[in-house]
Amino acid sequence: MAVIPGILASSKTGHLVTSNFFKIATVTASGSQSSVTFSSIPSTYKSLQLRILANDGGAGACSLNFNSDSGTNYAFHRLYGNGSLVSANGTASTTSLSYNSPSGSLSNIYAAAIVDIIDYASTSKYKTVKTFAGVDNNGGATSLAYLTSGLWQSTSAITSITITDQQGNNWTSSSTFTLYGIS
Amino acid sequence: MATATYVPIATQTLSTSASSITFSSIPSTYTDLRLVFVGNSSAANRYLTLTFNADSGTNYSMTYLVGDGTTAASGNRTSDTSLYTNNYGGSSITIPQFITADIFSYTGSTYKTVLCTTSSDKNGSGNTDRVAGLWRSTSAITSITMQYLITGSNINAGTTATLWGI
Repeated sequence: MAVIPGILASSKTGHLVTSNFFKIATVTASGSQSSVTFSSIPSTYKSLQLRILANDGGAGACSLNFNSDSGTNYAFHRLYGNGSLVSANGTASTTSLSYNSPSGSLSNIYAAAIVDIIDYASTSKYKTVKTFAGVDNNGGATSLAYLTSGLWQSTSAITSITITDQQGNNWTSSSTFTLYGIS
Repeated sequence: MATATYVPIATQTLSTSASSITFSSIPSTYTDLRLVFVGNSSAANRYLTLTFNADSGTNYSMTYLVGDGTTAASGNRTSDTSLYTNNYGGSSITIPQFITADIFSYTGSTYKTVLCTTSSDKNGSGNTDRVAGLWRSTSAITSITMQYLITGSNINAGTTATLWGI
């Protein structure tokens, strides 16, 4: 790794490995699946972070379910911009938590999302989720920047997470879903 | 035990102002990169931009969502020669901006998607920004250059940029 200073920049090039961010698992889509599940999630971390890069060949939104719960125990608020307009809305008592990253619709252009799940192992609190997602296609209609706050009204520890393409489209085989634990 | 992975690849802190900061020879061993920039510019109302692999072609674009304390707005930039991490309000001469850029699958064979955040409060003005950016290249990213645009602004001394591998 070379560091090119601007002018007389000081540099610290030591590779200090931080110890509190752990990769739990990565799933690369097969090309014939519209959902991905992380199961048997260990309870040993404070928070979880999902990092997603996905394309479904359409423009479908994505949603999360925890512990296979499909009851009306989810709620979310969203703030998003499409390159022209800003919109905000919310949904209460619904069956999944939409983080509404468009999945991407053009080959080679993938939507990204960072999903933070706070205090996921608590057995006394409802679970709060924060997402930042987006995709850009150089002025095309599906470009979006998305913020979501979500709620799962359950005091159960999260042991599994399912990510689903809400249009039922299959994710391309270069789509990746990685779950990290933060201690 | 899961694998620990959130590694500071390199940090630069400017002792004097500079026109740009570059991280080069970035190793290909991570899944994503995260760039963290805390700094300001020698001229006001500039925008921090990113250039990958010294590509100055019109291969960059972005969609932004911003609030400035009064209103929320969204817009975009297309076919730029660098990736704007924000496009609203801009920088201050004295007050640092806190900017992050998450670069997904930076060694992948698809176009590169980047999620940026900017926190820039100026005690009565300022903005918070979220950006979805795109570099239309299938090349692996091996270098990143940060520069304030519009042309003519340096990055001030004291600015710190850190590149993380995830």
